[in-house]
Amino acid sequence: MKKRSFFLAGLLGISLFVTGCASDKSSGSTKSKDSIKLGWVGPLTGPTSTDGTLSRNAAQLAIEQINKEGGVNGKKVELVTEDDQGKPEEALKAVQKLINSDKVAGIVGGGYSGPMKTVTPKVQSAKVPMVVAYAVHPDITKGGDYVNRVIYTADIQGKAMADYAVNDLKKKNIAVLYVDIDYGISIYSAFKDEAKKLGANVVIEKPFKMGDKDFSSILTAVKASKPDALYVVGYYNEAAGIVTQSKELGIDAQFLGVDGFDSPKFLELGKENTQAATFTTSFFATDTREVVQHFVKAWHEKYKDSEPDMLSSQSYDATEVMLEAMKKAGTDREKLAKAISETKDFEGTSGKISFNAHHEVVKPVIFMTVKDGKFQYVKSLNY
Amino acid sequence: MLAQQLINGLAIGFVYILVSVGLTMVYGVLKLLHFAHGVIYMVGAFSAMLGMIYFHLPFPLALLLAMAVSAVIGMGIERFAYRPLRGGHPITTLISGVGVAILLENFFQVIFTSDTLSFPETGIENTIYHLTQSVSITNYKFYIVIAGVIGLGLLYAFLKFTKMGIAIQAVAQDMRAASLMGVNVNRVVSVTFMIGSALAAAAGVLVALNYNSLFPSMGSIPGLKAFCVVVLGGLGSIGGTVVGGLILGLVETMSDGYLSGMVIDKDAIAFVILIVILLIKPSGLFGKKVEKV
Repeated sequence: MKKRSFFLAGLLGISLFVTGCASDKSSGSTKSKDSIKLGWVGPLTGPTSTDGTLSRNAAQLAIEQINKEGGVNGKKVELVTEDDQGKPEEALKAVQKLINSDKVAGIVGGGYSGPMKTVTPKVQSAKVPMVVAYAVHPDITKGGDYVNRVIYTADIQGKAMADYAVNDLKKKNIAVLYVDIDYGISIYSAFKDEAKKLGANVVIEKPFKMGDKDFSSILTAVKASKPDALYVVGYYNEAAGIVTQSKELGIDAQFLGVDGFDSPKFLELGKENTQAATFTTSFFATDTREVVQHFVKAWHEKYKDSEPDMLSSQSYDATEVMLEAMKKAGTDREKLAKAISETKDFEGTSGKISFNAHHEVVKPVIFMTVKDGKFQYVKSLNY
Repeated sequence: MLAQQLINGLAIGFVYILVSVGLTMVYGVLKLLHFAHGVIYMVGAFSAMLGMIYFHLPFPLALLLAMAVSAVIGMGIERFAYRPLRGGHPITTLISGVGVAILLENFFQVIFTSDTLSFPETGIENTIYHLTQSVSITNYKFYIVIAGVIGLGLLYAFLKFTKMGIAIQAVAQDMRAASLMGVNVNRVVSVTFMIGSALAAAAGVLVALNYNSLFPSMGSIPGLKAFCVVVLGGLGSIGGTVVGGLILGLVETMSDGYLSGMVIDKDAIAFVILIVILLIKPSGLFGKKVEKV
């Protein structure tokens, strides 16, 4: 009996260890006096770790490139990464560590809206410059002059798609399915307002959850409302399920989406059902601009089995914007924050980047569509 | 639209039934809440995928392989995580089950990452049968229903007409009396875990095929819902589980299709039903007597 319970305790121990491992993977970087420390925070473990890892890799790539060219004003840059596990409370701890113990010059925010929204008040009050890579919640840049973001807000994406659906595609009756989190709700409400203003009807609107697999019941309701376009505001996992199941139910509406679709996983999981799905995003790897091709090539050299995507491009740009400002203003936090905000027409992988008075990026929205299992560029426009 | 929603609900209901039957059998025999059951469902789906990718098995064989692998793992869990604690406090066994679930889920996450993977090509086209103009069913969903019916039929025959089946019923009624009558209780318990795990694996594989997705945490929500189904139908009652599974599938589909702007979401409905049942009829719809757990 005793032996058995030891075995059991062992099992439990291992399982705790496995989950426990998850929490302390922050990189033990060597401390050197001549380098500039740049912090990065995002999910490196947990369900969203894929995105976080891509983001970190992109930041790392940008840093390596600048160090190869001699660093910033003669000093090497060092990336200090902290894991937020996709959780707001962990993100707060991570950012406090970056600010108080690592004393970083600035922070690149490589996490989702929830965690980023939680840490930015802390960052603002500590007066540390931060550039947010891909979190879209409106509150993130509010409350000070230290946080900028290189992705456009939910409003812009929703409006852009409404304009495209109504004016370009001439759709009149649009069904909307949105993921029931900040990301989905904010894009969808902007879309709905704009679509109504342009004279289209939103015939049905239904929320779904992250991780849902079965959409047959909401799609049956969608079918009954006879839409000519179906706008899905969500990420690739759910979107792939929705395209497939809507084909199964015989819905032939035009499929529209958001930057959450922009992943090879969407094509892999949705297979041929993704045909003609059109979505808004901020980056495409086949862009002929030199900065993009340079980035894509460097990415393939460093990370052999993965493809650069919208997320990595956003994170690369966030890091580049930070480094570029550092070249001009040095590491004084106040001057650096000011220099970041003054970035104008910076040639980033996701378009020409400038910031407006609200610390939000001004850059074009890109429309992509799926053709024969590949993403294809449609058009891009400043909104 | 109603007919279509009924079909949607039926397919989901049968998934719940396949997962829950194992749980209810385990409860019947051991009076134990088997928290690692949802993980077995996930293990099944991954075994089928590996069988197809590495051994190039055709889909039906991969399904059988998945059921076999899961059956072995289910028996292993019983042997090493539950049996040593049998006779101890029920909470100890329950925690042991939770521990196994966390271990296996994280183990798969370490190997396969937490990403959603697509199910390998089966060679079986996803075809759509149009029953009427507005009502259709895909062949994958059809397989789920068929698998549910076949599984339940075999289970019924096994419990009614074989010696082992009758032994299982005897142990469920009274473990000590059965062992005094010469029934090998350990063997009966092993067989119960084997059957329950195999059925859960079948559900896992068919769900992975239907939604073309599998990931290490795929078992957690179905595992929890299976508890609701089992409590709804009456702990230990297989007939009750069948009814409970269908009710939950239909209620979820209907609420999702017809109601909007609900305070709670689809996944929470199961737990609301669970609470209501516990308040009104704690023994479940078909439960015989109130067990003091």
